[in-house]
Amino acid sequence: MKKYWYQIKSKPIVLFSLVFLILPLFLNNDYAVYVANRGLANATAVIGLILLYGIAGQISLGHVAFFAIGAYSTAILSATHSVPVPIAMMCGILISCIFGIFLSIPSFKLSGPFLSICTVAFGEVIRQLVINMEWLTGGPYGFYHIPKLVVFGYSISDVHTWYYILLAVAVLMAVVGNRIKHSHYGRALYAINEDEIAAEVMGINIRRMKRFAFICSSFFAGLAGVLYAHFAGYLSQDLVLSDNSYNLFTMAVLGGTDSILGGLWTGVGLTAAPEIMRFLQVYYMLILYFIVLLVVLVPWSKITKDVKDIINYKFLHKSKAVI
Amino acid sequence: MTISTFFQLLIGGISIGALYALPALGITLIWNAAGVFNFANGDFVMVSCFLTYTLLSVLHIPFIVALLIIMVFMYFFGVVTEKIIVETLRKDNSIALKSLVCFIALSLFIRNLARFIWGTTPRTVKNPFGNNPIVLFGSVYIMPHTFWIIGISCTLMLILVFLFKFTKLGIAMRATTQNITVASLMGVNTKWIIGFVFGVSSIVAGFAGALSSSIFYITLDMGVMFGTKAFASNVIGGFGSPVGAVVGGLLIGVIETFGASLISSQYKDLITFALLLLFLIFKPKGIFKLEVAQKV
Repeated sequence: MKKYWYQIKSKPIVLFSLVFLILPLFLNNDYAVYVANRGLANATAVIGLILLYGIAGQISLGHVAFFAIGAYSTAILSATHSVPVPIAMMCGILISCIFGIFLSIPSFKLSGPFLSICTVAFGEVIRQLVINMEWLTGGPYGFYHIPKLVVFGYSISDVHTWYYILLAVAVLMAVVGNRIKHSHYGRALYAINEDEIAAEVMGINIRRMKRFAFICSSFFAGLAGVLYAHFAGYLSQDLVLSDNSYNLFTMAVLGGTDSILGGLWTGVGLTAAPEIMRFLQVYYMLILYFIVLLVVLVPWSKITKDVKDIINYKFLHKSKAVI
Repeated sequence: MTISTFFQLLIGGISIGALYALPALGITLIWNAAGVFNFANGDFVMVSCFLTYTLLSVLHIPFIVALLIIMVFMYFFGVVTEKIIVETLRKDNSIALKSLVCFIALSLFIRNLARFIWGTTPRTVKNPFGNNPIVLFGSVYIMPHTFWIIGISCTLMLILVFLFKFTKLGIAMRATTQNITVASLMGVNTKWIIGFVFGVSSIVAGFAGALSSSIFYITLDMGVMFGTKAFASNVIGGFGSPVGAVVGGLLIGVIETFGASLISSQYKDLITFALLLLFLIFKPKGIFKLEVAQKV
């Protein structure tokens, strides 16, 4: 028993999966499960954003564009051109990755605010295209009748089934993301985040690594988008709103910037929070972004260290840390 | 296209471009003085727009008085922002990335604060400059507000140039921009100067907001539009150069207006953003060459 407990404690992903495996038992209506589904899809996209922003230090504020590209590609391919759904899904992810490569080109030259505005512009361009190319995307009317995913002759349309598929994908992708984070790729991305010039001197191919980070993040976002398209069954232009990009970014920041598990929790939590906290109405967003400001502005690591020092010194009478 | 339509579009484009140039100028001032990128500048414009709405349409205050109130309010708004965010972050090391995240959060906070105060319905302000078009050369019809916008923007820019070039304060500001440590050794109160620059930049953004409230619908999303377009004008003109910001703003205004009338007004924003993306990818230094891209 102790051994298992240790396993759970050392691998927080196990705790996450356990909590979410039993969660549907407490969700009494389909809408709650649907919200959880959306949360899991967002969490998958947030993992990519964490790899890109938290680890590689490249801010992307148009991230929902990748999500939308994945979702709309698979929808158009499977509904309009009647491509089999699994192949359409793969194509959707691939197209999203190709756009990721495209967006990685400016990141070779630009950094910080310049890159972030570049991604804002990218997101806006995609949004305008989705709205204006009505013959392709349905524009403001939305895209309906996206075929259901069929696996071994069994059509998946139940929200609960989708819930477990999305949970499996999110957990799997979190494991993959953690693997990337702790591999030499992840280390190289951390190095780029700290100091690009020093990283290049250490022999890291910066272009390759940045392209890798962008492809990774667009892959995760595209995957989330593809799954979203097929479980929701319809797409609307609300999906591409810049607010959603900021939401994803907020999730990544509140999750602890470089913690993939944190991103999973905040991804689901912040998607469900507006539904749970209906009573807060307009105050909700205000409070949320106030919290974000507090999280970013206040030097928490220093405060926790000070508090620990005070507790150790004053109450536990341990030797004071060297100042 | 007849020659009179051409002139109408040109002057309209220049007036819209002047509105983009003002916040762009603000971004440049802050970038030069404090080394941070004010992502929330567009939202400053939005706040000023809503303030104009409240002052003009709800409280029925004359436009000139409203402008003065907005100037005072925006100055303190900018100074408080600087004290809260930049002062706090200067004690940290990675000011560039962290301040960017802070300003993004601030911009979203301001937007939601405005949603809380003014609600989501788009507002309009009765045009304070009158609605009778002025006729030039017999066939060129131009609304009076375009002249006012161009005139006020030009005056503001001239005042800023005067402030920067010929006053002691301006010399102190330029010294702070060049080298903050040496400036503080020479007796310049750099903390106060940076706060003052934030205030001035907010005043400039406030002017843009007050002037644009007469021609645009006042919505919560206009902050994003203004911020991104101001940034686009910065990039196109050359980041960090005040002249570049103005030229880029005018260029974007003119291109946008002509694009909207020649191609389609639906693709108006698309043209601007595509232009911005092209400039960022192929010519990140802008027209007035300044180092933006890092080289090893």
